[in-house]
Amino acid sequence: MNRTAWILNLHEPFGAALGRELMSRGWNVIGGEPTDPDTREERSAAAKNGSGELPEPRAADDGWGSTIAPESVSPPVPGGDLSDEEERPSGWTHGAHIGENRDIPTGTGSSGLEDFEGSVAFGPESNARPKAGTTDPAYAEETQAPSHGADPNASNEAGAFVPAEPEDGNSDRTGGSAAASSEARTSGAASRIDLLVLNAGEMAPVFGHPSSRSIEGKTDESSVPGGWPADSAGQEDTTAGRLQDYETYALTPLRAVERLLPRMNAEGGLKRICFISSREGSISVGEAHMPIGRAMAHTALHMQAKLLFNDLRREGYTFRLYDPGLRPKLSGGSNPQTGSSASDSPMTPLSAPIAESARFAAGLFANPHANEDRLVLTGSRGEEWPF
Amino acid sequence: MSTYHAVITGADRGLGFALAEGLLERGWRVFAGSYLPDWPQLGELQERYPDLLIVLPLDVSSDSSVLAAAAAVEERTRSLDLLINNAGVITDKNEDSIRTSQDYDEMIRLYQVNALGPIRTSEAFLPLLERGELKRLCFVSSEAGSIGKAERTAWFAYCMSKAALNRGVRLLFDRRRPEGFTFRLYHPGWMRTYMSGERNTEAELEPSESAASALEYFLGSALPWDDKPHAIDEDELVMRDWQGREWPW
Repeated sequence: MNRTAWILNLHEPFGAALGRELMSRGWNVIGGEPTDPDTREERSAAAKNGSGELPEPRAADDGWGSTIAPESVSPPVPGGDLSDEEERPSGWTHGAHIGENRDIPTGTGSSGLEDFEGSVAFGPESNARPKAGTTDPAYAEETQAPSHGADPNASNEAGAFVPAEPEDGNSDRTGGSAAASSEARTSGAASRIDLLVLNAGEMAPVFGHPSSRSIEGKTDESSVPGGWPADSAGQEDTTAGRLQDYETYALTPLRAVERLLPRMNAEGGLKRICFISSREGSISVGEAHMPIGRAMAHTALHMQAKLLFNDLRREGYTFRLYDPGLRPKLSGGSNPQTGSSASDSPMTPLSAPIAESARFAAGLFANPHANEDRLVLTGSRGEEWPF
Repeated sequence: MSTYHAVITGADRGLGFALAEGLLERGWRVFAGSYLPDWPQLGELQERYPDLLIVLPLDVSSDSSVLAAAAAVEERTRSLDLLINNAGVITDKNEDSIRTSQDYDEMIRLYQVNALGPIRTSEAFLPLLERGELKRLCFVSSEAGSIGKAERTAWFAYCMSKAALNRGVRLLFDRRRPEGFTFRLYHPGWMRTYMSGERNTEAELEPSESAASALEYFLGSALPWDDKPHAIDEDELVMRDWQGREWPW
């Protein structure tokens, strides 16, 4: 049985990397953008040269800017071959740039996490990619049988990013028949969601080490490479910025759960909800240099996860709350974490921290956990962070 | 003895009013933030303490209102010893589960008042507090903000706002404690207040009861539950309830 994951902000670096990892484990991956449906329709209409004609609603339209990733033919690339490129954020995180150069490691298969993935946090399940059926030449030399998870329903086939329906309705780009079949696939693929990944905001790697902060003892990250400078908050510490943080990091995930929960109820579904958060939302260990609104919003997200856990666990849902070890990217300005990287280069691979964290997350999200009756903020090394 | 100065938000009724009354009885000069000008209790209290009670219009969800209140206080005193962030709101949408349509405007309203309100108020009054003797910031939070102990299955707006408040207080603590500021974070218990619109007669505590415990905690180093003097560790931020119990984050 195929499994489908729906990832909020699939185009964001971590979301894209996670999508790729899940695909390599045989998952279908759907992406959604946190756009207001009315706004999206307006934008789509505007894209039609002001004709005012709104696009046909898709069978699976959930009111979110869903993107169905392209079906894998050759190694699937999250965000690759997506239509309507001009409506997306530009940069190295999008389109076919990700993993385009296969000589450059993207963290897949080279994370160094093999020693403990599947053994520390998740019991005997393997976090390795499926080997059989894969079309990824990078794994062609691997001959072992698939061992990608204990989920008996999980597909061992290479995952699929189903082609996206062009939001601008320009059938010339993909062909009318392709668009029609895309819609059919979209409807089918999105009819049931097994794994809902709430990846709010945009993450950026912390250069140095993603776990440079000790749980036991605080580190003054003003002296840590990649730490926020004390005055980095800037305009984010205005009321408007703080409200925007709340909308982005707390309310947007809740809106997604509210809208998509009906699609997770189907019989045989995995019923797993995964929150991408940050230990900056930890009251116990979050640092002081984080913009206050950002930190508070992440704490609100943790509470939200706990309330949903309390409610839905009894219906068989399982939950993950994950700190990818990355930094939420400051909005509206340059990010100190990415400023020094060659992030604008289309040939730049996913940064190693993002790729490694996404690989770990894929295992965490796809595999069962020894204790599903406890909600834990789990870090990218399998460590537990306190609330 | 010099007169201490305090600002209390949401002092019209309930816990805020009881806190104001308790400080006035102790001889404090109190600036009482008022959001409900038609509510009579503060007016009656002012008649009893005409020289010590100053009523200020204050909507903690409004930047301009908070700044105006801070300016009004600064016109009357050059320093402040105690700020009690008490104002809070609740919603009648608490029981709406995720299976029902959520009211996101309500969530933002509660966040503005319960979470951002105390932070913006604290930031506005920091210069006055810096010149005060106690330099104490007090926050009325709630057990509903404890993620570790959360057992509710809805209450998104309220619980998220209070958890966020606790994080905001922690961040202020980390930033300002080295400058000599001190902090109290308090869960007042289930009180017979008007927070939900009508007076909750089923609750277990009168506001005055919780206020008595709160003031012991806010003002002193003697913990209220055993009458023995203890030095509160000012370098550790915890949330305590009216019985002195510590709540996990």
